[in-house]
Amino acid sequence: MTKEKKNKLIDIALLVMMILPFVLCMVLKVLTTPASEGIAISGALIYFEIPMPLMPLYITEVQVTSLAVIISITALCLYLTHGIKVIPDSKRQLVAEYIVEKVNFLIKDNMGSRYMAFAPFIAAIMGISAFSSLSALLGLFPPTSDMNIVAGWGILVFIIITHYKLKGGLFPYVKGFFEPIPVFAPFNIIGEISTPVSMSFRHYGNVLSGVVISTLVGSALGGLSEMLLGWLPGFLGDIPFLRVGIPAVLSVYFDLFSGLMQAFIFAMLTMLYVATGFPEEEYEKRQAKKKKKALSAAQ
Amino acid sequence: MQSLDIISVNIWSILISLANLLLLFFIMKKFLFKPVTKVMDERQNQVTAIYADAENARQAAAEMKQEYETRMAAAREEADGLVRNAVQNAQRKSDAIIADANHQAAHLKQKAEAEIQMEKKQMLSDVKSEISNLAVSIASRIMEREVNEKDHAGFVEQFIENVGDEQ
Repeated sequence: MTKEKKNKLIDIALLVMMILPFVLCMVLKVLTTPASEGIAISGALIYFEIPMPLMPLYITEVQVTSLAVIISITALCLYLTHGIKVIPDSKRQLVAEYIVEKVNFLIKDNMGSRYMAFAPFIAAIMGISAFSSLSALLGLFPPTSDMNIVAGWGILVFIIITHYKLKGGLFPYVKGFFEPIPVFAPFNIIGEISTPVSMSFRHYGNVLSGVVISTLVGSALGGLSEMLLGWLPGFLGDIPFLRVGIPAVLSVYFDLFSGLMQAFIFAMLTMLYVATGFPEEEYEKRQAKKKKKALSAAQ
Repeated sequence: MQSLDIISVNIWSILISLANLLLLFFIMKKFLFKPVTKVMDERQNQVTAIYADAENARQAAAEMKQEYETRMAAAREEADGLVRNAVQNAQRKSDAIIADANHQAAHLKQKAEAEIQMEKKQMLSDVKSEISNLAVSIASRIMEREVNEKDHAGFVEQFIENVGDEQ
């Protein structure tokens, strides 16, 4: 087998790996969704549950779709960087470089160049959030409309923020809660905790509200269609014609725009919180101290 | 099949999602950022190297140009010197030739004048002797006696000389 053929086969395999998880999710969804009449706004379907301490772990649509998202993004990354060369000869390499450059630029712009290691993390947040929200376009239950998923991300971001705040020293961190006057301590603590809560609730609420409104409008249009066009003979009367097209317009806003927007907002907030957690001056002071120490040790 | 409530909190689900994000972070780092950054750095290095090469080549070219120009200037100076020398030589030669010619002409003229003078003298002396002969023959005719030419030649000559002086 020639090398070219092999590369082509790998490309096709990666593309399949990119698309197949979502197809499988859709098949699973179609097979398991119970037929229902009327409006049903509920959480994700539970496939099975694993008994765990404290509370059982439910393996739901959300977990499956999340897994599909991760596999798909991995395949996309591998596909984009497959056959990468110093002198680019493929469009996908340009796409990969564009993504990396844009994210690096965003980091440099919002956080400063000392946080360059954060670039993959921000890209991961954007990717997982955007892919999760956009999976609604395929008729899947978007993982971002489950609070637990977004809460997990929010908590991870909170851990990172706190880590960077503690880099400034434990005492200044604790002292920060009692400023400007000690009476403010409870409010400061609430403000600290509200960071991840507000971040995750904003994201989750936006996507969920899209799902709810889409469902409501869809069923309402169905009812309207039955009322207006129910007189049509035979099976024509059963087809909800008004549901064709109009929900798509809403979907453009709630699924596409809102989903991508929330991904961007989540990433931006992460960057801002982390960057302000450990200010530039403190960092420079530390670097200077370190340098001094190294100098005195060298002498 | 059962559904979750629309709002439900599940710690394990939260933890799984957190782990998912971390996993995706490492995936992104390893499979997207690392290779792309590596390739981009490599390209940057190559571009820097190419630029350095170009700069070196440009400097070398500039140096060569400088050298060439100095050499050209030197060659031109040399050529100028040669021409100037040649012109000077030629001038000198021509001067010498003219001077020589002048000299020769003057010499010839002098010689010619001297010859003329000599011829004149010769002629004069011829004329004198002729006249003296004539005078002697006339005088002998007149005196009807032989005049000793040798005795009287000096005398006649002196006479003629005097005549010439009086003229």
